[in-house]
Amino acid sequence: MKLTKYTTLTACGGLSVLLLAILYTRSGISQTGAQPFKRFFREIAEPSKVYDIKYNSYYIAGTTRDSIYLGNLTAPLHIIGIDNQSLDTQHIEIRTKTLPTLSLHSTRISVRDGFFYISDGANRTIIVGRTGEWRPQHTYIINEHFNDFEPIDSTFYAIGAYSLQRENILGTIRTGKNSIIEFEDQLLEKQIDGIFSTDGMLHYIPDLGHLIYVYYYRNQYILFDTALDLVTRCKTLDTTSFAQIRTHKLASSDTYTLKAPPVLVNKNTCVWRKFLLIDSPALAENENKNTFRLSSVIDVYNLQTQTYAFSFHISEFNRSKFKSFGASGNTLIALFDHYFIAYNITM
Amino acid sequence: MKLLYMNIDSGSMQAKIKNMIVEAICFCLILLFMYAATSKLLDLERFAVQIGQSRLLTEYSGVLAWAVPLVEVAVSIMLAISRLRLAGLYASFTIMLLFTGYIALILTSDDRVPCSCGGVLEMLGWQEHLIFNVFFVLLSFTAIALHTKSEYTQSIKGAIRIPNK
Repeated sequence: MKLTKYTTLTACGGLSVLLLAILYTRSGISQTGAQPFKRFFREIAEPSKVYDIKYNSYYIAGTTRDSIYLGNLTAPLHIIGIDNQSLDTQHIEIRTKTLPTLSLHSTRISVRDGFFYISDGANRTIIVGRTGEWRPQHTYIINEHFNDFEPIDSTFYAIGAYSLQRENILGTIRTGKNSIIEFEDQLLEKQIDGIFSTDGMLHYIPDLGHLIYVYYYRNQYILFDTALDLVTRCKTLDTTSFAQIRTHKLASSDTYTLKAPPVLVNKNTCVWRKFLLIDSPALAENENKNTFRLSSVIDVYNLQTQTYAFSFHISEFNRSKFKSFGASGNTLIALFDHYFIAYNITM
Repeated sequence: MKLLYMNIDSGSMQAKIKNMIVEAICFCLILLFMYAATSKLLDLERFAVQIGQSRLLTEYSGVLAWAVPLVEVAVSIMLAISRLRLAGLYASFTIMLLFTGYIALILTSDDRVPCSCGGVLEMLGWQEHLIFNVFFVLLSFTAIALHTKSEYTQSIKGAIRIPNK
């Protein structure tokens, strides 16, 4: 090969490296700017067991007094139960011969003390059964579509849905001879748009009998009761009070999308006893950058007093951070790709 | 004399093979670029939104949505014209290197945004995509190394000239 070719190739290589370097430095990815708040660490979670569950399609389906259950997105009738003391796993198959029409991508399993639920908001279907039997007992086809489903008890559920204005709205369903659906449009407060800016995670807190909604894109959570009356709105540590999103309407398909990557404030949440656990991507001013880079930070909030309690770390596993988590008893389960890790909580 | 003939013959054969390899690689690259460009141009708006999801590109998504497929088409045309082939190969080497570097940056950062290469290429995971791209960088490199200015015609001329001496 001629010398000129080498020089041209080197120039080409140099050019691409230069362009990438400009992109990288101008994007601001390299600087993870610390926010003006402080964290206090109490490492309460000690890893105790790594378990290979073979597939990465599991999600946290629910927690009961003695177990944590995993549902599977690609096998909707398959559940893994994890005993929160012995950490024994149990593979469960929901036994049924007849099922109403369900869509694979909108069907979710939920488990709450004594009962399991198969919900499909796109097909307006809720199926309820007992956890010991793992057989559907009741099937309800309700009048409204919904996106989020959170059982309160076997006949009463909280839902997140789209309103007539195609905005997020919270509500409840009481099933029976005639299902009663209630909505409350004053709970979610929109910023910019009514879909993305109000997007969040809905949980029921059995220990308090309240519901909680944690926004994805701003530093706020909403506590409300099962009658859909507001209890309180609370701020989290993060300083992003206004959702940092840019929306865009696609003319070709009449849908809205995000134009730029949103700034995620509350990545992952779960409720444990009277606490709210938030997996937060924000760096505090008193935090070690290296530890922060190699682990997820969980902020713990006391929901009874609505105050920040402390934070702890969950380290990376196989160089990636956990996707979702749930806790019951003294056990926290975090899902990493096709593994779960059980942590022993000491408080 | 016979020996000389054979040498010349094998020399021209080698040049022929080299040329065939270069042409085959150019063909692959044209196929790749044209495929990627068409699938982007067919739904330009979607492509603009997709690259907007990447924190590296979000500021330039409007311009890049046009620029990337246009550059891909331009490079394909250059590769198809033998006079511009070497320049086209340098260009494909550079842009494949850019795409590869971009993927590497995405892999090191935390947010795995969806790939926006278009069509079936989006089915590749980021890791596989990286390997795929490195392969094409190596292909363009090989083609540049093997490329000689219209080697085929030169070697034929040489083969004719020498026995005349």
